[in-house]
Amino acid sequence: MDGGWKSTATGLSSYKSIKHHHNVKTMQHSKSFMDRHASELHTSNWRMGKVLKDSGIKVFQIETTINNNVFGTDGPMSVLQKREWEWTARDRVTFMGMKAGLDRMPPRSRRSIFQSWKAPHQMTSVQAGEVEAVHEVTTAKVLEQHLVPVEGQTDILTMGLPYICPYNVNSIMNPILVMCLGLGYFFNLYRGKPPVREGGVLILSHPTPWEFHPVHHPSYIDFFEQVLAETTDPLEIEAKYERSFAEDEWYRHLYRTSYAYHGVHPFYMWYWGAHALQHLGQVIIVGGDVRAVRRLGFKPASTLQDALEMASDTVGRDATITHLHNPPVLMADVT
Amino acid sequence: MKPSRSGISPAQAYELIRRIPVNRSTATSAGRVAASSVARRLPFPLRAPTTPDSIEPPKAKNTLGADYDTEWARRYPARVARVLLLQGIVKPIVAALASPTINGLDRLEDLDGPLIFAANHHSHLDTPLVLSSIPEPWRHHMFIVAAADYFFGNRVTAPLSALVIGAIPMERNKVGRKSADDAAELLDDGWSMLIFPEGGRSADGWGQPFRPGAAYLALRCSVPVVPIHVEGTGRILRKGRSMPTPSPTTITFGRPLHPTEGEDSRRFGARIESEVAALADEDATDWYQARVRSHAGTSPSLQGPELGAWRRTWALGERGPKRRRTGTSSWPDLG
Repeated sequence: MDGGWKSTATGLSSYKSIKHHHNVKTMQHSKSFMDRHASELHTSNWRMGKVLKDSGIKVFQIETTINNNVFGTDGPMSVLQKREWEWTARDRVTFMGMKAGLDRMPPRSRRSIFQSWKAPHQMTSVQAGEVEAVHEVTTAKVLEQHLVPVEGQTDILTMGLPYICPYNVNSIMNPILVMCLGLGYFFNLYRGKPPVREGGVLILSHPTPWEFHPVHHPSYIDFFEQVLAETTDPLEIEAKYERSFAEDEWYRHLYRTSYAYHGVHPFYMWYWGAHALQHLGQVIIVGGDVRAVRRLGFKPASTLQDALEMASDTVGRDATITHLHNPPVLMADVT
Repeated sequence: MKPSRSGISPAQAYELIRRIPVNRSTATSAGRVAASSVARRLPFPLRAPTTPDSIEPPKAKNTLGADYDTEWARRYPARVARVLLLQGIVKPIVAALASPTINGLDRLEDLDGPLIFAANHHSHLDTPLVLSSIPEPWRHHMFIVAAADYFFGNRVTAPLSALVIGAIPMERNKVGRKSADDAAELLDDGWSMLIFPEGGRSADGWGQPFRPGAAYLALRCSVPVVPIHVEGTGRILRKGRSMPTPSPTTITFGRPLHPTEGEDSRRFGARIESEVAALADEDATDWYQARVRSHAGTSPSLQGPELGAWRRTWALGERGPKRRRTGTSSWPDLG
């Protein structure tokens, strides 16, 4: 998803430049962000890259890939990375002990434990040279590792969301980031067509706390309190609120002098899920804070059983169910 | 047979009891069915996971036998426990059962670094006896090569073997590189090794041909081999017996053997065997005669004469130092 001309055309650019592709229209036409050739976002970045190249700017690109070994193959956390049907008695005891301990801990301690985990990732390749040539090899390496063949689309797609996404390292996974991770990242982990059919149901499992990091995510708080209270429609949000947040002097000040994300960042997180919102018939979050989930415009459910019951209103009682298991992160190659 | 007051004989009563439908085996099988029924009703992860129909069941990873990982037994806490067990429990029991006489320790005086101790094998008592006879600095920095199928066959004996005698598993029924690699790695790390090159206990009291494993490791790791002859343990707990009978024993250490230029493991293995045979001769006669015969290549073979079974058994009784019978007098009382 990252790398190629996106490193320069997005990574080194200001709001004035990226607003031309970080918008709802581009996101809705990107199917998916993980498949460069089907992504409008990438097409736009590549067009910008051509402008950079034609202007004579020489870019020496270095790209690396790492494996998806998040929790290791042994040690206390390895059980989280195994398929459940491969769990040994020891794994089950470890899991039950871990769950019992975490259930009794305050959220802050739980976050602290998981955020301090150092994943035993290893580098799988390094490419350097001309941008597009480098990115071709990098993409091939990533696909080689992540692609999992999936036959046909499903009516209901279920997935559990992890405790971390690119924007809450040593921070809090607020409800907007939950939406972005589920509908922006994990929903888009496909090549070809989405694993869930158009009009299908996505069931996510996440606590979705009504909680924000005031230093890292100040504009998220206002976005959640003011914007989402009014509407969850990305097009309406973009038209009515984006500019005021992007050009807000206080957010700019915090972005430049503190540790805050940019004022427009929560909007982009919301747009990130625009394709999924357009594609899906219903989104249900299991185990989430009821008020926070409703504010996101989704349906809360206490258990997976309840969620499946609610989903049957949309897709009927003979629905097919597919579960996207993670970790490790994978990319569904749907045929 | 005399009938009892109830009118049936004890044999008839036994037959009646045997025919009652509830006996030990039916109770066991009924209990097993009930337990498995309860286990099936428990929710995951309290019960074992089921494999989805579309998935080929994963092959269970073997963690016993030659695949048993003994690394934990060489960590500091396990080593401390082993020292305490060896000095506090094993050594006193061995002293009480075997009253060992240890000869030839002076031959180890000038040695330093890791050694391979190769001994003949008559009894399960050989391991604790030799282990408690080997002097420091080798005794507590030692691992033992033990038969994977016998000592590491189940979840009770495997950790006990690793902890109490510091054993590592060696495949004796098929050729495996892993056991040799593990042993070589430990020798390279400065650990000494105790091995019984016969590969198992003697079936009839005579020795078996030495396998070249000890010689191979000595050549591979450039470690000298110390031959050891153990005499008398067959009388205490020979193969097939379960209760030990106290009897005196003799352990004779030989001079360390180094492979000569161009010597392969087969030849070196044969030299180790002949040196152990010379030590047996030394124990049966005296040092000078044993050396003379060893030099002439006429030391009595450890494997006994190639004769019929009863002649071999007879010949066995004529070996070893002649000891006067003790206890009750066998002389007639002539008044």
